[in-house]
Amino acid sequence: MDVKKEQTNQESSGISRRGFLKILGQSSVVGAVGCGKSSAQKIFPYVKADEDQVKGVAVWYNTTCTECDAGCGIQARTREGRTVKIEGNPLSPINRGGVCAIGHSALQNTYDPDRIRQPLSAKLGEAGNFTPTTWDDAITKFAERLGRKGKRVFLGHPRSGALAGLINDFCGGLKTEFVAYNPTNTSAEQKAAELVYGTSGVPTYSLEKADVIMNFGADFLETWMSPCEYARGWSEARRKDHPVRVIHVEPRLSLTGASADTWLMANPGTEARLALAVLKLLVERGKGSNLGADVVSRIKSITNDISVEKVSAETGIGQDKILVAANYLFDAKASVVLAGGSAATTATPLPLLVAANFLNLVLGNVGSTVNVAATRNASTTDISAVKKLIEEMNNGDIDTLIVDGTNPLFNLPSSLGFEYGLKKVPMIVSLSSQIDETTYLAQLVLPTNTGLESWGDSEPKTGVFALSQPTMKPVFDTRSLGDILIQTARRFGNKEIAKGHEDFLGALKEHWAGIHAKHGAGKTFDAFWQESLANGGYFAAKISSDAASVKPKDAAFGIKFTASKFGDDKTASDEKLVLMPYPSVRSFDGRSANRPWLLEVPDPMSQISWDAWVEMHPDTAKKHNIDKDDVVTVRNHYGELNLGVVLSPYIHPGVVAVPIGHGHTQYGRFAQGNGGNVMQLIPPTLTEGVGSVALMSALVSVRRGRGKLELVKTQGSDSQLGRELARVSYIGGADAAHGEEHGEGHGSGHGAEHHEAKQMYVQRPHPHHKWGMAVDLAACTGCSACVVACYAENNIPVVGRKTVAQGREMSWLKIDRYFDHEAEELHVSFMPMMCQHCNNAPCEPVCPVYATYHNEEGMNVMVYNRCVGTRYCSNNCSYKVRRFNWLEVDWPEPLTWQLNPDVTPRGVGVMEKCTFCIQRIQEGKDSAKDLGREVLDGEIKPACVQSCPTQALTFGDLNDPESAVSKLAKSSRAYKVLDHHLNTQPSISYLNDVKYKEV
Amino acid sequence: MAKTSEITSELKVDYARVTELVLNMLKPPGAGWYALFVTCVAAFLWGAVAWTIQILDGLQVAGITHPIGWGVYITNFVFWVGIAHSGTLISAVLFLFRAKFRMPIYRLAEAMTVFAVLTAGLFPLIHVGRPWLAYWLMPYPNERALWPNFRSPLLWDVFAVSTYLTVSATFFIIGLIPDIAVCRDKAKTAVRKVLYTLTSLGWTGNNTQWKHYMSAYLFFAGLATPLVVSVHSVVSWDFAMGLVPGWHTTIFPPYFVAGAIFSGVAMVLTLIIPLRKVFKLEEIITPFHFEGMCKLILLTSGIVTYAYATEFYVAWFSNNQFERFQFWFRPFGDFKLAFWGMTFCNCIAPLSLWIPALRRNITYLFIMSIIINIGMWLERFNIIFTSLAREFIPSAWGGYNFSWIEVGITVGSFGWFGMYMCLFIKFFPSVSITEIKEILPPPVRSTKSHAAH
Repeated sequence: MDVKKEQTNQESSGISRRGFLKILGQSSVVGAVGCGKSSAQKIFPYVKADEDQVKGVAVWYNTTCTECDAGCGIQARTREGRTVKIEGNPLSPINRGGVCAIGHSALQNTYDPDRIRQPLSAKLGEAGNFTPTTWDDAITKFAERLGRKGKRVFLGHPRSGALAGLINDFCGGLKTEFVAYNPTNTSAEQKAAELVYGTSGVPTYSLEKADVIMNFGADFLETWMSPCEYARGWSEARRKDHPVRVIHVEPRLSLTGASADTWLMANPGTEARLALAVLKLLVERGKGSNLGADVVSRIKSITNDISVEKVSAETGIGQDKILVAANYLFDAKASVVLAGGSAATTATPLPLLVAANFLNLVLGNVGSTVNVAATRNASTTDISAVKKLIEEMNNGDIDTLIVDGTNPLFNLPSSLGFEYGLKKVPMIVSLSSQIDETTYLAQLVLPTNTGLESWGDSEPKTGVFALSQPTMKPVFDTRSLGDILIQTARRFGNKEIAKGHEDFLGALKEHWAGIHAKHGAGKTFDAFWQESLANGGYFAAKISSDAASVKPKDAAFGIKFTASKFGDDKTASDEKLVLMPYPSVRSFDGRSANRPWLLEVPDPMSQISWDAWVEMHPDTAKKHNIDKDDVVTVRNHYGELNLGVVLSPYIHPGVVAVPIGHGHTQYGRFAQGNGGNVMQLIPPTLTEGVGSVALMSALVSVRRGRGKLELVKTQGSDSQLGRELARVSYIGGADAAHGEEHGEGHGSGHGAEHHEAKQMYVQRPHPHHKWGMAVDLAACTGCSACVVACYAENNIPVVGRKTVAQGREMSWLKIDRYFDHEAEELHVSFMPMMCQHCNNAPCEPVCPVYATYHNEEGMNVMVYNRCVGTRYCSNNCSYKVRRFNWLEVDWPEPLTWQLNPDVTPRGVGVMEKCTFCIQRIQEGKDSAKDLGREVLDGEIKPACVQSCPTQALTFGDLNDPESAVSKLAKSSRAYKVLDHHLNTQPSISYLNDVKYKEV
Repeated sequence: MAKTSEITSELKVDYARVTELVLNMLKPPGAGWYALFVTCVAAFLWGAVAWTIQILDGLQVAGITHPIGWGVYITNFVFWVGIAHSGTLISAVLFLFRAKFRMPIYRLAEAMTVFAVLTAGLFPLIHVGRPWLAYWLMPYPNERALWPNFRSPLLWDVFAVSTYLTVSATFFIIGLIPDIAVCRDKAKTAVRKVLYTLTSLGWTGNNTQWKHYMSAYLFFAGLATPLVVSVHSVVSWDFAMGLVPGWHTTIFPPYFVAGAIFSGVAMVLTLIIPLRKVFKLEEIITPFHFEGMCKLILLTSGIVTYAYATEFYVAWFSNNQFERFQFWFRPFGDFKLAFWGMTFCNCIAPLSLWIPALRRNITYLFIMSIIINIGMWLERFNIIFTSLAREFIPSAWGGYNFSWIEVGITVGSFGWFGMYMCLFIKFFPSVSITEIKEILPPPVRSTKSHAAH
């Protein structure tokens, strides 16, 4: 691509008078200070600051995350006009303060060094050979297309709010057909809800109220629907006096399954049968009496041919387990049955989803844990429309294709033939901020702002009106999608769309006038608008749902409740393994593929960083003569992938799983050339009764490929070898007492005093504060949001694949993952491991130059300037949380703009580690001082604590006996890692995980 | 018995022959010497280039990584300090014990000591992240009132090694003075004349000088003796004071001292056997001397073996799961080759020296000395590397591959050491003339008068 070269040329040439003066000014500063890397234009993005911008003081903007459709509220921290950090907005009813890993990484999307920097155009037939053009020319060119006779199609991400209205206007007013396409759609779930509950969206679930959750494959702690929201609900349910019991049914142990009490490894596609068996057992025992007799009898009729023995044989799950699972549901005061994720993308997803909804119905969950009044605004995608579009493109019927916010060339199954069709379109207009695979083939690229640079709104859930505002000026010469559409329409001569507003903000306000009319009682529009802007949206009071209105449609009973079939007529006889593509907390659907943080932070389950992989059972591998570091060829009629292999006993032997989102051929320097795109193996099958892509319908064969590939794994040992680092206590099991005993013996409350009595030396006084943290392992899902937050807050360098492979990743906070077996029972632990800020720190006495020492607030601190780099502290650290700067790392421009100005980047040869975000502690103390008061409990939150969607981390002052952290540290579940062996006296207390014995 | 009785400490040479033999070594070098010297300098330069690259690019070019923060460099440091050890043992301790087998070998052992400390001292500099700031480890007065951390074993190391270098160098130079005077008297070229005149510090060999000299030598021997114990004890504290399973053990100081003597004597053998051969010193370095060294090797090998066994016993007896795992891991884990290599080289192979015939087979001794050197390097590698590879937190376990930088610097350190040794043997007498003469009957005018005297 020559674009980059062109761009730099353009940047360097043509210095204006003002620019010249700025450079002159800066170079004199550079001369004085002796640092000359940044260019003059980029110190501040403005000449005259807004009134709320004060140098050195952060400004926070409440806005909405646009990374997925969950609609989490976020706060953007900006310094000197540049957004440097994303945090959760505690006011948002969706995420209530947490953010996921992908949410944090939105910054790296905005500061992506490979982002499109200005409008581009390419001649037909010269794909990728872009020449920069001006906005004026680009808009004119776009408008010209609108006047042509041929068919125009607008292929876009389904949007809600004002933008949806504008796109509708645009397509309607300019005779363009709109085709919605969202790879991560929830069409199947929505269809099933419509059939059973009669809702237009997917109901929302109050997991916090549940005593039992039975989950058929929905990865609600990872990517399903609204992961931050459900993770929070789940964690609240787990922290109840009688924690929720989670039964997870999936052929592969996902992150969500790993946190469940019981994982039932069902044969792929048979989940619906299991759901029906449970349904039958419940109805037989009299559940469903709340429903009308006719509904019950009809439900009975669909379970007629079911028997537990038969289902047990079909699903591969023991009869006893099915009976026990049904028992738990039967006995629960409140329960939830969830179904979704990969199970909702089989060729026939409706039987499972409908059966799950029936389960909720007969269990009386609708109205209590299942809210059918406040639904998630479904993000539907009817692939049959896309299929029709492909056909038209192939026929040469499409004159202009407008692609917005979506990358079908990458995330549609290639078997659908989108690429062939696309190449026949004479004019592709891409509205994108990245050169993705689809954009690469475009003739006109109008670069859009990212979510952090745009106005916007959405209604992710009934009653939640989320508002987005630009948190800074666009990094490059880009415009917002709304503005582009309005300007193009005006250039074309259309004056109507956007109700005559000249910019998208006007249209947005107009849209919000409607919301104001409905919800803004007693307030002027301006007051309502300002308030909503300040809060990040308008959040109506909770809408409670009523069970009475729910009546399943006839069609719901007309479904054939059989197990899903895999493969199609093209499947060869040796293709016997079910392919399971799944979105992950890092790669999602592939849109976050060029973000170094997400690539470097390891996948929590496999602990693999940077690489793409295929996961399979060791027995399957053995059968196919595949060894640990072999390259594995996964193939079927549609394509072939060559990937490194993860051998995991926690996957069905008949299934191979591949995370979606790897294998980009475009999209930027970090994304390209990493494994293969699993979409190449997906047949063109559409889900029956829904019409979405049947992602999990392919059969594949595997064989040993050419060469070796050692995947980059950041975890040393998968087992903790009985070292009791991450502890668990079982409710009702013999181990409960065991757990208690640990809590008392080694916990902080009792134990700490015990230790203090034994100390050989006089203990250090901590006159003002003694900072400490509590980590609740029962609430940690391993989602790694805290890790990414830590990278963002503390300027932790991303070192790249090769260096991580050498063991030199720099993460101050790592999620250790252990698989441990206790009497046949698998327990997966996720253990956030960071500097423990020991009061008897092994690292401190060994440093020959006092570069690391204990400060009077109880923290182990690091003086980078004093560090000589002997690495003795790291050797002697029992927790192995110190990181050495083996190399000097550069952030490619403009990723540098994200760096937190409050944290100094470390040079080569020095040691670094978690500081408890000392800069945030300082800021908290300063602002408390300004207000003339003491620091309040919970006021200071390190980045990890702030970001945790489940609030598994608590930070505070251990000197204050009333602080939340002090109370947790005294809980009976609290213990300190290795303390009873080493007397290190960590400031971090872990609360052991609590699980039920498996059914 | 008959065979052993043949070996006596008596040398069948006279004063003139000793002088001739030793001064013969200082003759202009031949092609062999040049080849060796150039090889050493080339190796040293290779190491220097490798270090330069490491300074420029950061430690990423080396193989050491997380969690193995110390690897080949610290192994080399301990190895060279260990080598440095036996020089002082031979020259000072055995001097005080009046052990006769030390006479012809102590000079070379001392030279080896000084050069090995010079080599060892490089490694802490090489391994730190910011070598340009390494002087911060020195307690020097500064305007910021910043002092080093006196609790850190690394700081003790700085003191121990620098003290050892100072004392052993002084001891070495003092021992050289009378011999340099001999060289001065026999020097033929003007350059040598000037060099030896300056370095002999006006030695004339009169009685007062000898009196002072002897008491000074005794004094320095006394001063150096505790250092023999202290240096390697302090070095062992680098590990013993740490929490790392496999390091945190009280047996380390004696174990390290014994190991150091073991490796040091082996290194003396490695150096002196070729030297004896090339310069035809068979008359003054006899099987008697090798016998003495072999016995020292047998003793220290036994101590080292006992220490290894004790480590395993203590790990088992402590019932500490981390220690137990570590000592299971060494013989059976991923890096078992290093362990078994060490066991063979240090515990099993030296047992052959119980056989008198092998003790007197000089070629065999040379091979054995190399084996012991390798074994002792592996011992340090085992302690440092395997312990760090498997610590408390299993998720942080790791491994380690050497890079060419580390290999280069290691080879370079041998080059650096060899370079000094080469220069030394051509400029100063490598075998003490005066001390050998001490045990020879002094030359007299006639047999008669000698008998009468």
